[in-house]
Amino acid sequence: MKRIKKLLGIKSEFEKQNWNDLRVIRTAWTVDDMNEALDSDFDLHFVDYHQNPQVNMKLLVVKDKETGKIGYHSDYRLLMTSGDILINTYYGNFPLKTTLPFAAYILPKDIKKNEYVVIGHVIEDLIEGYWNQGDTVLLTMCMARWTGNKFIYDHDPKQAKKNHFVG
Amino acid sequence: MKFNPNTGKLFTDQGELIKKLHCPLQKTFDELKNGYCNSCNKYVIDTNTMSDKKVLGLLKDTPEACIKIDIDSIKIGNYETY
Repeated sequence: MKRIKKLLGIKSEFEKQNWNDLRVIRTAWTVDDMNEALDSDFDLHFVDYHQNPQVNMKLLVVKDKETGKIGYHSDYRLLMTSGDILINTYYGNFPLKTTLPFAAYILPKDIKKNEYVVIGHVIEDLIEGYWNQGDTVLLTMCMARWTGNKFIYDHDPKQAKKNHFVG
Repeated sequence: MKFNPNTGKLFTDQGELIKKLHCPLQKTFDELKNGYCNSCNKYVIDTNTMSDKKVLGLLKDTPEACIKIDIDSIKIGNYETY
């Protein structure tokens, strides 16, 4: 659908925005950050944080064949080229964004309803893409619209597929 | 090159940071016509056939350049300490 809209020249609400015109909303991951934001005259918008069970990253714990030192990476191909010895493979969601069950977006007092912003670090575990060894890549930064009580992200989980990065 | 998809950081094989890749508009290369980004009015450079040294040199000279990397052709991993 997105592709068809593009072909027809129909822009989404977010595509009509100019990135440079938008304010950046930062995220408070700790209580200290939250209190500092309040002290600096910002508001907080609390968001529940639950680990997304669909997030799947692998961690290959390896031993260097020459030094014997332990290391880790996520690429099976490195095993073939480095000759490292695989000790174990772990799967899961790491690194964890926070150990708390919540985080908060730091809102300027004058944020307006339906204002478009840039979220600097998305709180929820939203999947942006996959790569061909099965790992998921999380959405970190995106545009969003403030409805007055929550953010609508520029994120379509159905589009979460790519094998390259641009930036 | 080595790339950490969790942080978007691209490194040389020796571990030197080349660039933190981030497209705020979440563009994909397929959306660009001949690699040209209409939003930023510049070409996105495909690094697929470039050496680490060349990519590093390019981005030192032009830090604002946008590049495209294929994750199938570089090393992917969590290269930074958490």
